[in-house]
Amino acid sequence: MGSKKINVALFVISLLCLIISTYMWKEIMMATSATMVLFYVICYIRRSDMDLLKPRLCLVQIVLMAIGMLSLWNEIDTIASIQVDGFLVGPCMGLCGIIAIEAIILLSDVRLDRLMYSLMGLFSCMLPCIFMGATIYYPRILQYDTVLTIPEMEAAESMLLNYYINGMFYFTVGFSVLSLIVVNHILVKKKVRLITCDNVKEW
Amino acid sequence: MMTEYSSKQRVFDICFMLFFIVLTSVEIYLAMNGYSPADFAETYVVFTLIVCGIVECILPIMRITKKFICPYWFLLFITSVPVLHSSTLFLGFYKTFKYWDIFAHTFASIVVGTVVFLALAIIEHYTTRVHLGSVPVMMFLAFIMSWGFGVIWEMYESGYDYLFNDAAMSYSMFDTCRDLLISDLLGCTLTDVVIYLIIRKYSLKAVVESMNLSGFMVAAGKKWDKLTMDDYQGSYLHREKPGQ
Repeated sequence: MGSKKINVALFVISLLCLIISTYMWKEIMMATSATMVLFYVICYIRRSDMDLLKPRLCLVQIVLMAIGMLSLWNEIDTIASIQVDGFLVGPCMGLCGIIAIEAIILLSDVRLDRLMYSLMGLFSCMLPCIFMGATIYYPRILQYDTVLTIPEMEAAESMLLNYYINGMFYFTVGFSVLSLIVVNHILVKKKVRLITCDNVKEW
Repeated sequence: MMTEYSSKQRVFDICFMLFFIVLTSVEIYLAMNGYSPADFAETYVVFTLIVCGIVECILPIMRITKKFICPYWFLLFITSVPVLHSSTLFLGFYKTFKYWDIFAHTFASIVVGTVVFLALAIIEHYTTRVHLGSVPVMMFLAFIMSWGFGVIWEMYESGYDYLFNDAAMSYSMFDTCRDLLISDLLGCTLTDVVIYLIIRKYSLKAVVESMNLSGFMVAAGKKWDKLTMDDYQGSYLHREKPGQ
């Protein structure tokens, strides 16, 4: 099967992941799959074909997304499962960061070297964690004392914040950094790039 | 053109550094003897004062050793964050004033955002290896990086509490959310707005050159570009960038 067909298949999988995760309201998977879909769309607009992505690396992304999604399937309410969840989703977020940087490179005339690429990816992979916190924080300050009573809100908040922030935030960030370093190291050593982008010439 | 650094400036920098050392030492002494009005554990206050004291001395030391001769406004701008944090922690502002935490985080974000943008602008200006595109793209990248730096800080706060089994820094998870989603966001946004207004009035080149880093940065830029003196034709102003 040609790489074009693989990419089309991966695009469809990403789109399905986005639809399913939106239906289930799993924010992390929504963010991951939305990033993938967006990335494919950008590639399509920029180069008018889908034969741009390295299939193997995209497959890793999809597998990680699937693992993350499976881990989110069950209600997570224990510390142990929160940690496991963080371990699984962390690498997904790391790859999200890399893809975000690739998207920025594609959309602009930015040209980065290895150091700057790593640095940008490192910081950008932290943004999904902030957005996760936002899904809790902003509804809380907007609806405070109106939808729920304060004790109800505090109880829900305690559970949700522990789940999102403690479980996801710190573990995810930690493993995002780790996965970014590992993935970037592999990318650099093997001289493999996620995209065949002319802007990333110098390593 | 090498950046000038006179003996008068050196004396001033040494005095500057001594001031930070004395200030921190006095605060540490008072905190260890229970004179700090802060309602925190003594070890936490002392630990923070030591860390901030070290950070405050970095730029003066770099100036004295001629490693990085930045303008005084830049030095004061950066050191104001650890000075403000350590002093107000010592004085108990974080517990006395309800919104002090928000203000401190916002101010720190403004400083970090400005420093990140300036760093990107300097890299863009003095190297050919890296091209960061237009000013809006650079602003966007600076926004991402400075906001991401806020995450690193929150990780440090949580890490401290985890290591020392304390709750001094990260008061609650809600506090972490507020720091990131109100203070840091506000600080980064304000920085981008101010930078946009400054760049619109002056040019990016004028802003970078006002830093007066040419001697140091031309050498560093060449090193980054992996160019020899022979390869380096003319000044950085004559280099070619994509799209030019």
